[in-house]
Amino acid sequence: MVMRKLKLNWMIVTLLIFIILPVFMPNNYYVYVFDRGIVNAIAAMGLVILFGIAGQISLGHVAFFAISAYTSAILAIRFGWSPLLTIPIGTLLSCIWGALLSIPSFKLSGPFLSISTVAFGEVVRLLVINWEPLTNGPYGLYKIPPVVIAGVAIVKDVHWYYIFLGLVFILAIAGLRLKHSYLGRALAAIREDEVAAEIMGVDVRRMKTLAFVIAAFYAGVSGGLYAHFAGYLSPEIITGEQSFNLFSMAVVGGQESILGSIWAGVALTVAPEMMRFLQEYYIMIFSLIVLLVVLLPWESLMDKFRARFGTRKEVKNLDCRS
Amino acid sequence: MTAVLEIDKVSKSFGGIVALKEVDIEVRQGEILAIIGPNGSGKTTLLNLITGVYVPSSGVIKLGGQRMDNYTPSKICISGIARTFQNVRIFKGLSVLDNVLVGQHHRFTSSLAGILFKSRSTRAEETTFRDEALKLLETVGLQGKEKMVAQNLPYAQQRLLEIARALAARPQILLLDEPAAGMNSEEISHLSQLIKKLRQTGLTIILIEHIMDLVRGVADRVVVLSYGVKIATGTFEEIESNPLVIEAYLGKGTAKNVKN
Repeated sequence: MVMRKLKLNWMIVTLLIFIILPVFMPNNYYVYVFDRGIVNAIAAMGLVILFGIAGQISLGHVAFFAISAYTSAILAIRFGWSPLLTIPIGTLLSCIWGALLSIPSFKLSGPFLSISTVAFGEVVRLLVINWEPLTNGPYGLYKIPPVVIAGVAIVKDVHWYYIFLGLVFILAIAGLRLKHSYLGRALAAIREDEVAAEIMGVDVRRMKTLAFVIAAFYAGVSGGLYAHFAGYLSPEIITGEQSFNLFSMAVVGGQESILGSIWAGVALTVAPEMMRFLQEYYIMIFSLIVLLVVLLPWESLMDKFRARFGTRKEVKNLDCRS
Repeated sequence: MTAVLEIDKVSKSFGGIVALKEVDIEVRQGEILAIIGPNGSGKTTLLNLITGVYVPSSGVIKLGGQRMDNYTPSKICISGIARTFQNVRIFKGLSVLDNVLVGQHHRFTSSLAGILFKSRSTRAEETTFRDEALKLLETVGLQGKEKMVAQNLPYAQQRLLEIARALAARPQILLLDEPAAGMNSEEISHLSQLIKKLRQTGLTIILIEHIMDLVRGVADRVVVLSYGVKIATGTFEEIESNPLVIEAYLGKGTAKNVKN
């Protein structure tokens, strides 16, 4: 019970902070950057489930994002279909790709699985660049129609901000419920010991497919929305670097923390913008910050903090890694 | 007494090495069958064949008359055989309670939609299984430890947790692979009482063990393996005086010198 209250509180605190945040943003550009941050956070959240909980690596994750974004954009441009229809179609395609990508994970693990996911990501990137009649190649797709809800086209960044915010929280709640269900426990068991999980009656293949499809779903939702939010798409969004960014977000937020991925997704998108003035030194500073976040013993620091301020210590025990 | 598990002329070879050669074992309903034998005699291989980790090179394994040697490990677990491991394989990073809950995995029926919308039946199911898991922890003597991270348990308790996790699958047959390894005498007597207690619930138990005091105390029948061949079956007393068994353990020519 304590755990549930605590989780809920963190959730509410996070939500409240994000709701009032736009008020303090000096100009529209910041809103735009935060929008992109939340879009990234949605994709990173899927990776938290896939990598943090189920222990399956995906280093070509941006491919899922791109498949959905391009599918939705192409359908909306060519056929004039409503994005409200094309985004789900794009997401579905992304999920199918996820199911396919889970097949190598039946046999491969560790570095071998990483390489195969990188390869899958490259396949998508090269397809996008070279399938010019469909994707317009390196020139990218322009004039992607905006989402229209009840006759109003959503073009303002602030509107997108709150749409994204609403969605990211719905998806976070879904992710948390999944994590604390028997399915989430089975995924965690696969991460801990695949053989033991299989012997305890967990259908490892099915669960791995589930994990990949969930991650692809999150990335698909994120990509589909991004296409209509940004209004243009180019192969630049599908670089290996972007995959790596998503991966960093999933790890920096705390490998198993769904809420953490929201913070990390936004922070790691906004921080580079904030550090523009550092010019080429920014990568150095940025890497240093990421290293500190990953390497510092947060667990014990938090314990010290709790001990000092008398927060209940059992919380940590309750909230162990599952 | 009917046979729940029939192992019929089962062989297993790895490349040129024959780990098991035409082993026949019949496990009866509700009994505690111990499988003993010197190191490398094929005991764990046999267990891995029963639980589907390996596929037999030849021979048939039947559970309740149904052939199951081609099932996947998870299907075998669902069919009613659960096991523990010789080197503890609990889910180290999960809580003690979650370890047991994973054992119950295949008995959950909630749909994905039920989970996402937190339907009443999903919540009820979760509560039922949680209560059952807590009871199981109490059965093996781990009450009050459910919130601990499993890897922080002392070694002997990790073994007990593995038993609780296996019981959570509600098996007909429980396979224990050297459950007493690394336990002190007090812990072994606790284990021995636990095994007897489990038998009373109607569970069939196959026990692989090196510690003869435990085998003597609990086993109804004993099967002895040596170099992959079954060399004897019988009660502990029969086995104990069997010259073949003594030879397998102590070497040729020793049998006549050993009394009892």
